[in-house]
Amino acid sequence: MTPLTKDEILRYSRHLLIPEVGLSGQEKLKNASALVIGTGGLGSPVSLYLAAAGVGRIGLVDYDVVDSTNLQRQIVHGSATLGQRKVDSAKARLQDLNPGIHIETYDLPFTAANALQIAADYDVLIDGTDNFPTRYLSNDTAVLLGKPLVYGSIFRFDGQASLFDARSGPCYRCLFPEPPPPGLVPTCAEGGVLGVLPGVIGSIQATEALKVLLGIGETLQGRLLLYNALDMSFDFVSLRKNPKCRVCGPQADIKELIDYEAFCGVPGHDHEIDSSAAEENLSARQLARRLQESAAPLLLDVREPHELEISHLPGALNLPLGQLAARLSELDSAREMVVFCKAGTRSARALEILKSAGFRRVKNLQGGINAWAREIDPSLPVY
Amino acid sequence: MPFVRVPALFRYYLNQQTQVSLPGASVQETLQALIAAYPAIGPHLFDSQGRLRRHINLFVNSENIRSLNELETALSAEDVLKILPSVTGG
Repeated sequence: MTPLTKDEILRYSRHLLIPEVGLSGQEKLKNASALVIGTGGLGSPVSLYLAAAGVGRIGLVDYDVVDSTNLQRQIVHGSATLGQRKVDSAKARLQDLNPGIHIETYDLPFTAANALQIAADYDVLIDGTDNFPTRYLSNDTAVLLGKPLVYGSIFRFDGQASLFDARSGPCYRCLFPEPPPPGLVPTCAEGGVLGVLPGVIGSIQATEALKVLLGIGETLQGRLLLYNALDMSFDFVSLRKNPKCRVCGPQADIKELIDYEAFCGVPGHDHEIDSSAAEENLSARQLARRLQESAAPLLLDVREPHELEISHLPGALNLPLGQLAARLSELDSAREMVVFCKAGTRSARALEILKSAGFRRVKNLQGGINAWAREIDPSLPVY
Repeated sequence: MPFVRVPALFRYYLNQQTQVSLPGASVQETLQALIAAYPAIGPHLFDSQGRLRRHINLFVNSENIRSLNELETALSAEDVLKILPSVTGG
């Protein structure tokens, strides 16, 4: 155990004054390690607070670059690091906050090919992921390695947090044995999130990680915290080990990492994707030409009504995706139609609903109204 | 009547309400009342075979119905039925 230096004793004096931490606790943190999977909304506050607390070695995993839409909530990054690799951006900020700790970066996707090797060398794993495949991967990695995983997830105003340690309690799969069918649960890129929400949940995750490393307090193991920012409610529900859990139960049949993108049916990231086939797509330029011809197609906007305040296409019919299936009778299946949303993800799902209902003359605007704004009408904002 | 706590994911279908009071002496009855009042939420809770979707957890107060009597778990007027879908924002 490496003892604290005099400078560290001064830096961490507010920790040393707490009986449950003290000199021995701070030395534990100095000699401990945490792997933060994702340096986004959750990973930002988690990594900042673990660095501030003096966790001696922090690993950061992220394959992405900083873009402006991140800065509404991903507070470890900044305008000065736009376009930089996220792990490099985060490392610079964390080292500035605490030069005395060691930051290790993994600038690559966290996958079944590398997860066990990367995670093996850390005391605690932090789930800062933003997609189901990586979330299930993180859980299974923690179970197979016998390590605690601090869980957090967010959507709009709601947050969830817990501590999973399959050696003595439930894992993520005990609660959610299977992911939702593709398209049923939106990501933050599709549904939005209050910027400060991951700050709350991430801070709670950092708290749990520190309690694990210090060996103090009562953790969230066996409980799930449900936070609702709208009515400022903190609720707890009980979590129990599932005796039939496929990865941590007594008859577990998952003994190695699997293909998580295939398991979840979605990619391992939260970037908007257009899953429609090439022949079902129309580019913005193609649509612009088509709208100048006679018998122009109907434009079907499947975004939420409040998004039309940001940008809209004149003459488009607004029918939100969530209502489409119930309101198909309002549409003429014989009419040529171009469906669009913000970036093409929701409209691709709308296309599937329409095709399933017998609509044959439907195409998807590739890249959504954002693509229209970039290529055809720059007076419209991109969001 | 028991309360049903509505997660952010489903408030869209319930006019942005965070909780509603609905009749029902069991979880199943109360969910049917919920769907009757707000039909669009139905496919998000149950699949085409009428089974509760596997990414949805239901808690009566603080206990998962899997530890109780599944959808037949009794509800009293003072109980709170919490719908918990998995979400993945981060």
